[in-house]
Order: sequence, then C-alpha cells, then structure tokens
Amino acid sequence: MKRTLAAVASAAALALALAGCSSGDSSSDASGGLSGQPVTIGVQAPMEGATAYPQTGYGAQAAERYINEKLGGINGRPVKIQLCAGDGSPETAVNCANQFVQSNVAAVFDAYDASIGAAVPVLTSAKIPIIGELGGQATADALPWGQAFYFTGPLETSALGMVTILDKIGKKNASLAVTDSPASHGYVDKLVMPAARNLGMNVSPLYAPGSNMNFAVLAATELSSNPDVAGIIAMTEDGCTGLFKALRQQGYQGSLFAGSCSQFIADMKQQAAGAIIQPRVWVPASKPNAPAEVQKQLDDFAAAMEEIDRGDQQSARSLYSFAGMVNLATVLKGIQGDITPESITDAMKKVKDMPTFAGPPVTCDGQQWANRPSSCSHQAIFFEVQPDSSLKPVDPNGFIDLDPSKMSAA
Amino acid sequence: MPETPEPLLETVDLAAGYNGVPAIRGLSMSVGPGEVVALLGPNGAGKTTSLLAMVGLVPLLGGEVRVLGAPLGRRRPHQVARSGVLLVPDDRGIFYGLTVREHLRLAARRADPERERQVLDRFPVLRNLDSRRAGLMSGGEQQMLAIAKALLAGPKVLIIDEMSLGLAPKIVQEMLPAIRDLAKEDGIGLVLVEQHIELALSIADRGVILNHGRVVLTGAAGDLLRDRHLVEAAYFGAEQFADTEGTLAG
Amino acid sequence: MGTFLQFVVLGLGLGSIYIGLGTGLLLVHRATGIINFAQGAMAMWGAYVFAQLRVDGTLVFPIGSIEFARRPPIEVAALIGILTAFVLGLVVHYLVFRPVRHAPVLAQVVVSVAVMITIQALVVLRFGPNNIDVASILPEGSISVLGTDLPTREIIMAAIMVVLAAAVWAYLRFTRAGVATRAASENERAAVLMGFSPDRLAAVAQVVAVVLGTISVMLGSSLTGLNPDNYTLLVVPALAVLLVARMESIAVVVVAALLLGAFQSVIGLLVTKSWWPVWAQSGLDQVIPFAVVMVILFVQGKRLPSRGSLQTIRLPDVSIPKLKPVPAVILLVLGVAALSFTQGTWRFGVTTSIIVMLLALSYVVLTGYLGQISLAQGAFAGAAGFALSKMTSAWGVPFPLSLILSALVATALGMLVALPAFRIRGAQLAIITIAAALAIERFVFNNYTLSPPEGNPIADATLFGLNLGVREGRDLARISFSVMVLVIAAILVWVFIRVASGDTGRTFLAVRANERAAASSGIDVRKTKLIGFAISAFIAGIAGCLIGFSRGQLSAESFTVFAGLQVLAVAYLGGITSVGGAIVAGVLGPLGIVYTLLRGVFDLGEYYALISGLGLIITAILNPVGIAGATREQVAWVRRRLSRSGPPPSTVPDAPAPKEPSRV
Repeated sequence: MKRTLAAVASAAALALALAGCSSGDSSSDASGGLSGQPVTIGVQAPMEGATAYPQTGYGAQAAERYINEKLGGINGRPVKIQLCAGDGSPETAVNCANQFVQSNVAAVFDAYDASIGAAVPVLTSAKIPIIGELGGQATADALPWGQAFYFTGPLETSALGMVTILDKIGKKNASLAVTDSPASHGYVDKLVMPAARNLGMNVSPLYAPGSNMNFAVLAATELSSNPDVAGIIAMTEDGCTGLFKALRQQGYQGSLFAGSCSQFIADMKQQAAGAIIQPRVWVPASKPNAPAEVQKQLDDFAAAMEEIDRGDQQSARSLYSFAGMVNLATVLKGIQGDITPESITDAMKKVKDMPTFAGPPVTCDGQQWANRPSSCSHQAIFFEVQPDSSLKPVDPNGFIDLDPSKMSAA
Repeated sequence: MPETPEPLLETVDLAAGYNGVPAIRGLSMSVGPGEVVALLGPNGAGKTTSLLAMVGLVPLLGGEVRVLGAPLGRRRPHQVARSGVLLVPDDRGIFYGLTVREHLRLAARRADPERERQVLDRFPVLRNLDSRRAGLMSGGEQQMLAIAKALLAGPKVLIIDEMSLGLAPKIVQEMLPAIRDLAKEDGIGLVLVEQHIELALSIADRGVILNHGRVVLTGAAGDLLRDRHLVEAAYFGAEQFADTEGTLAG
Repeated sequence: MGTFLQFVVLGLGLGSIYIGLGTGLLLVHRATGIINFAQGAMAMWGAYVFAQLRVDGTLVFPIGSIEFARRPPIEVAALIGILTAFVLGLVVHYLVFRPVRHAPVLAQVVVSVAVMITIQALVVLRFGPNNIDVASILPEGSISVLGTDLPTREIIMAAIMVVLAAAVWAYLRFTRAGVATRAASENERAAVLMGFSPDRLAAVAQVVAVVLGTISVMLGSSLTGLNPDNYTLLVVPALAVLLVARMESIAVVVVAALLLGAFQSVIGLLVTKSWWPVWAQSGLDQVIPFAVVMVILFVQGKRLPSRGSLQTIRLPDVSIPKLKPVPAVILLVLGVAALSFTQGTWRFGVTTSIIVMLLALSYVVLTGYLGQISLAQGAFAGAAGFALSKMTSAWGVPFPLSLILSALVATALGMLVALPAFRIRGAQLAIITIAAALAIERFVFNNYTLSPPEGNPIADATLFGLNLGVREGRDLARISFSVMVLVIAAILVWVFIRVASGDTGRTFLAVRANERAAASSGIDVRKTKLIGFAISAFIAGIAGCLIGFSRGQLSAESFTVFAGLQVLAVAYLGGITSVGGAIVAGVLGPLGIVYTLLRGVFDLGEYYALISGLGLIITAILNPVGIAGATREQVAWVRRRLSRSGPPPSTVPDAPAPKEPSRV
C-alpha cells in the first residue's frame, strides 16, 4: 500500500514537472537579425503571485522585438531582456536581483513590480541602475539621484494628480478604496491626505484586504458616507472592476474615480461612462482622441503585441513596460562607447526634455520632484470615459503640470 | 458417540503478541455450535491477547485461526465480526454517548423487530432504558446491553471477555446461566474468559487454563471442577504444567 | 442601524463559507480524529475547476486539460466542480489520510499541512496565481427590510449552507452510518467489533466534507473571486469556529460561522470610521477570532474531547546527540569549504541553507524533543527580524548586541505562545499556533505604525571594524558574512547538543513521551514547556535576524504563514529529531542549495512548493523519521556490518501509546 503511494506520487510529481517543462515558453528569436554583441537588460516583472500582472512582462517582451526589428536595436546591437518573474515576495525579488548581478546585466528595468524594494540593496550595492516607467513602491522612488530613474514620476504623481483633478472638477467629498498594506497607509497618510487638506477636499480612504475583497461590502462602505465621488486610490484591475460594478449595482450613479485601472471599461460598457482615469501615458483606448503622433505610437504598440501573440493584452500595464523599454532604448542609443551600468547611469542623468513613447517629455536631473530624485517628470494626464467607451483627455493639452508644493513636506 | 459437528471457531497452535514478543503460545482449542468453553487463568496469562488474536485485532505470530472452517487469513477485524464471530471486549465495547436504541440500531444490519423482541425478552430491563445513554447506566445494565447488542447481530460465535468484571456477584450468578441457555438454544458457540473459576466452569462444557502465555491445563468442565487442586496448581504457576501442557483425561 | 444590518447580511457570504468548511472539519474529525488543515485548499480546487469552465470552457485536471468548444452552462459547470470535489475527497482519503489514521498526531498534522501546501501549489501552477472571476450561481438582487436594501445573494447562500449543514447533522443523528461514525469516534475498537469499517466511514465523511466545502466556496467566491492564498487560509477562522463548537456540535458551528462572518464584515465598516485608532486598522479580522479561540480554550481547555483511536504507529525515536569532535570538525571544514569554493548566488544559497538549518533546528527542539506541535516558528523569526530592523536603523544598537536582543524579543513571544500549551496539546495546539501566526502576520507585521512604507532596512553588521555585511559591490555573499553565519550556527548547534544531551534534554523527552507520567515523577511540566518554547523561539529568532542581515530589507511577506509552513515541511522532511535532520532541511529549504539549483539550473523554481509538498506527504506516511533518520539507519546498518562487535547505538525509545482513549 505504502509502496503504491510512493510510486504514484513520484510518478505524478515527475509528470507534472515534465508537463511544465514542455509547455514552457519557447523563446523564439527576438533579435531581429541584428548581429552585434547583445545588450542585456534585466527585467523584473510581477508575473506571479497574488497581485500578479503578467501583462507587464508581455509588454517588455514585445518591446524587445520592437526595438530590435523596428528601431534597429542599439546602434546595431540587439537588446536582450532577461525576464525574472517576481511573485510579490521579497525572497524572489532578492533572488532575481542576485541573478541579475551574476549575469552582468547593464541595467534593470522595473516593470512596475511592487516587490522591487527588496532588490534595491542588492542592485545599488552592485551599482546597477534601476529604470522604469513608473514605480510601484516608495523604496526605489526615494533613492539618491543616479540609482533609480522613473520616467513618469513617483508614487506621489498618482496621489497629487488625483487630488488635483478632483478639485478641478469640483468634487468635495471623495470615498476611495485602496489595497491594504503598510505602503498604502503611508501613501495615503503622508501624501493624499495632506494634499487633499491643502485643496480643501475631504477624502475618506478605505483599506481593502488585497486578496479577499468582498466588493459588495466595499461598495456599501464607500457609499455609507454619501460621497460625491466614489472609486479607488490604487487597486488591482480585478478589484476596480468588481468594486465599480458593485457600486453601480447598489444604485450609485455619480462620478467614479478609477486611478490607473482601465479593464473595467470594457467590462461595464455604458455603466463606465463618466469615470475618470489617470494612467501615466496615453493608453490604447484614448487613441480616437489622441494627437496623430501618439496614434501612430499606439498602433506600433498594438502591432508589436500582436507579433508576440499577446494582442489581447494591450492594457495600461503592458504599455507601461513597452513604453519604458522603448524610452530606455532611446537613451541607450545616445551612448558613445561601451554600454555598462556606469555609462547608462551617466546617460540617464543627462536626459533633458526627451519626448517619451505616448508619454510626457522627461528630464532626469533629479530636480523634477522634491525629495524624489528618481522622478523624471512632474506631469500627469487624465481621461474621462465616454459613452462609447473611448477615453477623452480632461484637459485638451493632454499632460498638465502638477504642483508638488501642494503636497506637505513628505 | 454422537458425531462432533464442525467447530465454528478453531485455533491451532496459536501464537500472538505485541512488537514480535508473543503473549500466548501454542493455544489449540475449538468451540462448536452450542458449546461453552471457559478460558481461564490469572492476570497476564494471555487470555485477552488470545481473544484479540481470534478476531484479528492482534496479528498472529504463529499457528492458525479457523473461522467457520476457513482460515482467518488477511481478514480485517470488522470483516471477522460481520462473518458472525463477535467479541464483547473487556471494556464492554459500548459507546457511552449513544443511547440503548442507537446501540441496537447499530447492531443489526437490517432491522428485525421479531429478533429484537426475542433478545429484549431476555433482558427486559433494557426495554425501559430505550433512550438512556449508555454512559449513565449501571455496570450490570451496560453488560446486558453489550450482550444484547451482540445477540441482536445473530452471531455464530460469541466471545465474552471478563463479563463479571465490576459486577455484583448476584448479577453474575443470574447472567451467566442465562447466557449459557441462550447459546445452547441458538446453537451459538460461546467462549468465556473469566476470573470466577467456579462459576465459569459450572456453566461450561470445557475449560482451558492459561498461564505464562501457555496452555497449562485443559479438560471437561466437570472434571476440572472435581479436581480442583490441579486447577489451583495451574493457576499458581506450577512450572511442570507449563512444560507438559497437562491434560486431564475425560 | 440600516447600514449595520446591511453589513451583517453582507458578512453572511463569508459566514456561509465558514459553515461549509467548519462542518466539513467537524465531520472529518469525528470520523478520523484528524484535524484537516487542508480543508480550505481542498474545497477550493473544485471551485476553481467550476470557475475556469465558466471563464473559458477549459476543464482543468492536475495533469492536462480538456477544452470545450463552448462554455458549458452554469449548472453543468457546477456539477462538474462538485464531481471533481468528490473524486478529490476519495483520492486524498485513500492515498493520504487513511495511512496516517493510526499515526501520532504530529504525523497527522504534518500530513494535512503538506496536503495544504501541495494543493495550493498545484492551483497556482494550473490556474495561475491571480484572482480569477467566479460566475455567480445565484442571481443578484435585493430586498428592502426596515428601509434598507439588503442583498439577497448572501442570504440565500447562508440558507443553502445551513440546510446542507442540517443534512449532515441528520446524517450523524439518524442514519446507521452516521450513528456508526459517532460511535467509532468515541470508541473505534468497539465499532470495529460490531462490524463497521472505520476506514469506509472515514471515506464517506471525507468526501461529504470536501463536497460541502466546495459548494460553499463555489457560492461564496462569487463575491470576491478566487485566490489561492486567501482561500487556503480561510481554514484558520474555520478552525476557530470548530474549536468554539468543541468539535462536536454542528449547530454551534453554523451559528458561530455566521456570527464570525458578520463580525468580520462589521469590523470592516468600523475601521473606516474616523474615530477608529490607526494602529488597529489592519488585521483585526484575524486577531479577534484568534483571541476568541484563546479565551475559549482557556475556559474550556481541559474538557475538549480528543478521540479514542487505536494508535499503533510510534513517534520517531530520538537519539541523544553526543558531541563527537571528529565529525563536528569535519562538518565545519566541509562548511567552510562549501562557502569558499562557491560564490555569487551559489554561496548565497549555501549561506541561506545554513540559516534555514537553524530554523529547522528550532523545530527539532520544540517538536522533535518536546513533542509540541507549533506552526508559529516563522512568526518568531519574523518578530526578531523586525526588532533587528528597528534596533539597527532606528536605535543604532551595535552587533552582536542587536542580534541577541532581537532574538530575546522572539524568545518573549515564544514564551507567550507557551502559555496555551500548558493546557492544550496535539492538533489543537497546532491550531492555536497557526492562528497566532496568521494574526501576527496580519496585525503586527502588516501594521502601518510598526512597519513603515519605506520598508524595514537592516544595517550591515560590523564587529571590531570588520565588515560583516552580506554584500558589497557585485559580491552577492561576502565570505566574511557567510563565515559569521557558519560560526553562529555552529555555536547554536553546540549549545543545542549540550542542552539535549543533558538533564534538560531528558526532561523534554519525558514530557514528550507522557506528560502525566512525567508530572508524577516530579518533573515540572509547565516549566519544561516554557523552557522548550523559549529555546526554540530564541534559535528561530537568531535565524530571523540572519535572514534580515542576508536580505538587507524585510517586509511582511518575508515571514508569512506559508513561509513558516514551508520550513516546517522541510524540517519534517529532513528529520525532525536530530541535528542531521536540520542540516538536510537546510539544504532542501527555501532559497537554499536545492532551491537555487531548481531555479537556476533546471528552471523549475515554480515547482518548488509542489515538490516539497509532495515530498512531505510521502515522508510523513512512509518514513516518519525523515531522510536523516533513514540515513542514520543505513549508516548504523553499515557500521554494524563493518564492526560486528560494536555496541548498539543508544536510543531512547518512546513509551508505548496508551490504549485507553485520552481526555485532554
């Protein structure tokens, strides 16, 4: 009996392992036929775990192909990404970082992974720069100038942006949910609340447990304070969709603030109209109302995603990774000589008024945001969901300046 | 001499024990329909171990057990019980949290009101205790319940371990003969392990006396009663009996 | 008032899941005496199958899947989900729980924890790690009561589960099999003697339990989506409900489950109020059930029923360790060699293996020697780690004082957890410790006021000017750090051997064997337990600090309940009764040598949890002494063959298990 058990279990484990092996991603050639010495960029993307967004990884993969096939690589040399799947745990982040150092990557691209904080000590010690489109946590944001660079601004961008736009459209009482974690408490208490106070707004934050969100309860709690705008400060896509549906289901017809969520639009169709979203870049759904140049960029993005069979994953998060990698490639192209962590760091520091892919123009001189040297921009863009589910920028110029002084000293 | 029928339960040179150490060795006995066999001996002689081995609760270290003609083999204890060999163990095998009714319900696979009536006729006290939890009954009542539920299952062999333990002598004096009569009537083979030598032998057909894990004396009950001094010697560990496995000619 | 009522009703959704899990736990416990920590995980598998069928028509099996051209209608999908649960219950019963029915409680606890880890890992592998949407079987709607709109879905869910729980109650009360199950629960031998097969009854109970749990999760998860971590851990509040019902009364399970669900929902509303204190904003929904359980156990602890079963398998023997200088030096030399000849991620792996060995050693002390089942070692390690962060970064306490003080924090926590151990044992102690670990993780480690958002940095250690930091530049694991870890580990192992081979060690073993006998021979059982928990927590605390030093940064995720259970898994796998076992555990443990191998060389990192879970199941069933024990037997066999005249190794055999049912 026991031997049978042992045999069955061993066979099962073996079969599972083999099944996994055979169905793994076969890495097809993404080098675009370029023949120079590859430039290796480590990519940390939250592909696994409870709050995983595999799209962040897909965007980077699409960018790799795009850079090599359509942009001619880095002066003839192909870009090669080393994708390490984060799962939200510090252990994995440390492991990824160790692997990056071991394999001598030239830089690490943070594909919006909230566990990057654990990797920071390893990477800064090895003097490998961390570059991303936007940061998911405060540790890397606050690093001294030259250790990390985020193209579209720090965490505070979302906080200040939210308060700014709500004030602009005349809301006074906001009831907004946020995923519960020490980081979010700090974010709300230190960033959102002071900014709100400065603008005379009343924000009631609701902390929702990350992995067990009962949307009906959450919606009811939000509505219990009779707000004139309900929604989220920061939450997973699934969380947004679930919460907004519940809000509408409980009879709330007022304004919704949706942070950087966008999945709910396709899901809720008509019911989503009037929601305000605040992504960091011109997202695909905004194409009909975007400037011609941005439209072309969004088309390129769509084509690149199709090329790696992820045409259905064109969300904000995949675009962030894509845009960030393309921006990084733009910087790398300008480097004369060897591409090393040092030369990349220098080149990033010199970035000034550089236009970015579907994003704002950036300057990475460490002065864009007080106390946040990693930030390369202090602008934000806001969209309103239209009845036809497309997005229209709230301000006709698209990106507007934020005033970081409106935040109390962080 | 009338032909002796096929024994219902038979052990041949049975050896059984714990962790490889035998607590009983070389036990050969049998019980046929309507027969009463008394298994006697002082504490630690190996009586309980023998019973447990007969129903498969303790693994055999040697010898054989035949149940209804077929070897015990690899049958699990619950299968032995289902084939009609029931053991009433020394803890009475009842459930303090269950009522009498529930016990009787468990006893019979299919509800047989006629049989139940018959059994309860023998133990009328139980009729009044239908919804009483076993844990709240007196020792005698519990023992009656233990035997009644065994009988309700229609056993072919009934093995009772130390029925008289903890019971007032008067009750024991009434119950033992009643059980013997029952066995004879229904053709059940009865094996009794007892401390009360006289009482046990008085209702038994044959006696087997164990000591130090071996059979030290066997014989017809009447003979054993007559030659009491031999029984006492067997009890008090006369080594020569251990070696010779003395038998009294009938 | 209206809002309050609304939230109470909303909480019935969670409450109905607790009914499903709690009733299942009760049924399985009645039938087998086993407390099934895997109940939540087992219940979620069928729900996942159901959800996936409705998402894209794929029927997922543990290996392979079938794609349907069209998504099956919701009733069919639900039926398939239930059928899956049925099969799962049968498989797990026959392959896993049946073999350990007569094993010691430790093996049973470990096996069910192993099933929990395995199924959770399998779900992540087969369904992905994110939340997935679950189609709602019940229609949405609301009814107006007292002027408030109450959702009908939650009410119907609760009603369905109450009816099903009542059906189980009726089964136990009125059917022959149910009465037999109750009988076997009280006196298994007597039930066997009446012709009942406890194994068959147990199979029925297990299957019913899983099906019930699956139905409740299928219904309840439509409110939140399915998520592997969360649903696996819902077993902890369900266990709290089970304890409140004293493992006996389904009626109490139903009431307590609904109350707990409603309570957690109302708490969710209250913490948003402005007058609610900030420090109490997270994790309260886990702390309160834990506190309730503690109170109940203290008040009723002595009278909780424990099952009278036939325990025939013994606990693994413990061999008194002797400090043999030659093997010790060899091991040390091997350690230094392993560290010197590796570098980068490999040396990091070796170093981490040494640290995990210490964590495993803490299990050896507490569980192998003292016989107490604690699932909270991860929490002790975490407490020390977080204390270390405060000490080195906020208060500038120098090394090694910071190390000792932080470990003492863990020791204090360990002694606190020892208090319930005075009155409860076995699986119930396991429940308390896992509830404590979860409460600590959610309420303390995740607490905003204690754990700032920038994280918890840990400054590098220096000693007399020597930099003992873990990394510098591109050197991922500096030799001075690794040697420091080795030295600390060697000291602790030496201390352990001294303690274990002395009077304290023998006292531990006596308490492990039979508490009552130990007490009656003059041993102060309470003091012994206190000492055991203290030593174990101290070692775990040192390990936690070393983990902190090796990472440079700590967060709540570093010391989750799951992480602690993974270490328990490898500790048991390696052998929970010896230092050798702890070493094997270190080699196997998370971020250790084998892990690095799997991830780096074979790219099987995501299979680590699954493989360790399966390995643990097999070990717990086949070889309770673990790998080290088996190796020791082999070595002893070889030694005997080589030197025929050698003396037998000294072992302390366990006292034979008492035959009468024990009342706790």
